Amino acid sequence: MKRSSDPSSRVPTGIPGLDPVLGGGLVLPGMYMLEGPPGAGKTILSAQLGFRLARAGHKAIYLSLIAESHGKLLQNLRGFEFFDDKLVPERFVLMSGYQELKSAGLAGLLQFIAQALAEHRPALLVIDGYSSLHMLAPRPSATAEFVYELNTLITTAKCLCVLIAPQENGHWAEKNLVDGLIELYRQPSGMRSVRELEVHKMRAAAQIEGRHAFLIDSSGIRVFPRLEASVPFRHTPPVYEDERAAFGVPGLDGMLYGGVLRGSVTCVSGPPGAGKTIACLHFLDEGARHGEPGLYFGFYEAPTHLLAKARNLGMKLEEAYQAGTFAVVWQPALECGLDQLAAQLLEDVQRRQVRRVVIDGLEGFVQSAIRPERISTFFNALVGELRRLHATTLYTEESTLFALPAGASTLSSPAIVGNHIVLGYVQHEAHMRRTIAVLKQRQSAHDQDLRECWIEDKGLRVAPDSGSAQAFLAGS
Amino acid sequence: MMATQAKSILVVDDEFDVRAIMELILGMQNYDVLTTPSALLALEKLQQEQPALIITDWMMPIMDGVEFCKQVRMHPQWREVPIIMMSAANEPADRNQGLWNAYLHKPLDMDELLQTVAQTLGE
Repeated sequence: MKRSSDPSSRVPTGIPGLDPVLGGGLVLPGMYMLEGPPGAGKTILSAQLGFRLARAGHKAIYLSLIAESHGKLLQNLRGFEFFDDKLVPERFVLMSGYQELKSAGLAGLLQFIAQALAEHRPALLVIDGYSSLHMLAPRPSATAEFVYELNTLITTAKCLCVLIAPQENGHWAEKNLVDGLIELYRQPSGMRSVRELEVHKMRAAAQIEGRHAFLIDSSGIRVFPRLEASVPFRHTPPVYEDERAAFGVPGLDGMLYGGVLRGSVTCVSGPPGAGKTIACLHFLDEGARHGEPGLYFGFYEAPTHLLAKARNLGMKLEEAYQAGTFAVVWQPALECGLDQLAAQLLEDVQRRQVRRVVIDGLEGFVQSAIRPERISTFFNALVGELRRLHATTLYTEESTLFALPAGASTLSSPAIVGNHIVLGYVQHEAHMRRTIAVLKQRQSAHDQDLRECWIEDKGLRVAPDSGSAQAFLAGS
Repeated sequence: MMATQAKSILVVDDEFDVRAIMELILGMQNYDVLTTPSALLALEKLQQEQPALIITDWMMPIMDGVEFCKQVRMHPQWREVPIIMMSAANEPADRNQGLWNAYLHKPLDMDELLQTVAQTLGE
């Protein structure tokens, strides 16, 4: 017989992102309490799980006490892609247990459930309106006894049980008796409403602790595990590769002694208009010319604008885009969670085996962040994971106009960011002259000079030495 | 049609949830289920009524399931009553020596329980 600690006895929920948070799925047999305020998504999550199991050929029983009527429940669920009318009522079985509870008490309800389990042999039993038990229980300990017996019953019947409970449930003793406790939150953050999920308890599994963002859309619930707590890179030491990834800009590649090391993370900082995006486009274009899959992930430049910009500079990115070796992911910095953005980015990198990544505008992550205090650890986790996936990453960060020599990045940890290229302006008489410098290149020597650079028809051009910069800085 | 008399089963377990669920599951199969929380109380109950089957837990305070089986097997009236031993521990086969007829592993499986009961009762 399979024991509950056996990973093979876990049942994947099939809810995107939830299974990693649960440590692999729900343990079978097992009893779980799902709590949260009205509108948090408890019913949707339970129904999504039920329909997944029903679609796989199992049965799910949705037992209501004092809760949404079945008619309304189905009406509301019909809008979701996971809903399938053909599965109701043969595989997704709806029952009301309130009459038994009212007329025969907790013992009567338990008997009713035992009969339902014996008749249908479901893989899942959902009990919605669990607070009704407390309302009708003869004494406070009666519900705990009921849950204790119910847990033994569902263990005997080898099924999963989900108790849907309100958030305002104080310190119910039965929380100690269930195998897992999942809480859904819905709370305001400024003008936004934020949905988060937390697994407080999970017997026989190692859940990812803390809160994780989730959203509800037409597909149902999608969970985005908190990146810094979930990415595999945490357990993988960094690997530096000897090979270099060039920009295709001779002066800049010369400063870097051939390019940045593959697998490294480079910060390209500078004030607005200094040429950060153009430098990054050169990097992607050089990769595309050598058949390396690339990805531009930005918040401000729409794909058409970006491709037009590249075309006007004589770059080959549009062809690579058509061929599918180059992709542009444009995500306006609006109400989109950090982990959702990261999941989108990492999915594409993994799927297309992307080798060159540009994240244009680190500020976009900051603007999207609901919890700004996470930014630094989040971003370090993101670039660390990109490195683990063998991508060479460039990201841009905006600095103030006269920031030369620019300070180190404020958002990313020096431990993760290996290289730092600074673009800037220097006022010379009545002109603004562009400059470029390599502040840092880990595991490699680099040119220490400040050089002049220009944005021309073919993009970025960097002076072969520091002569001209030295001249105008000396005031000549 | 003549009604057949329900066979009685004595369930001995110190865990109340197990007694409650056995009563429910076996009751649904039309068995007449008697429950008791200890082996000593079970021996008292046997004085009053002889069941068709005994299902007993192994690990119980004061008198465990193995000792209880010995007491039953030594009694001239009860020695032929079939016994199912159940426990969360693995079966102590070396200690059986004809004391019990079948063994169930906890947590119980509904199908396995009903099948074992039926087989032990010769149904």
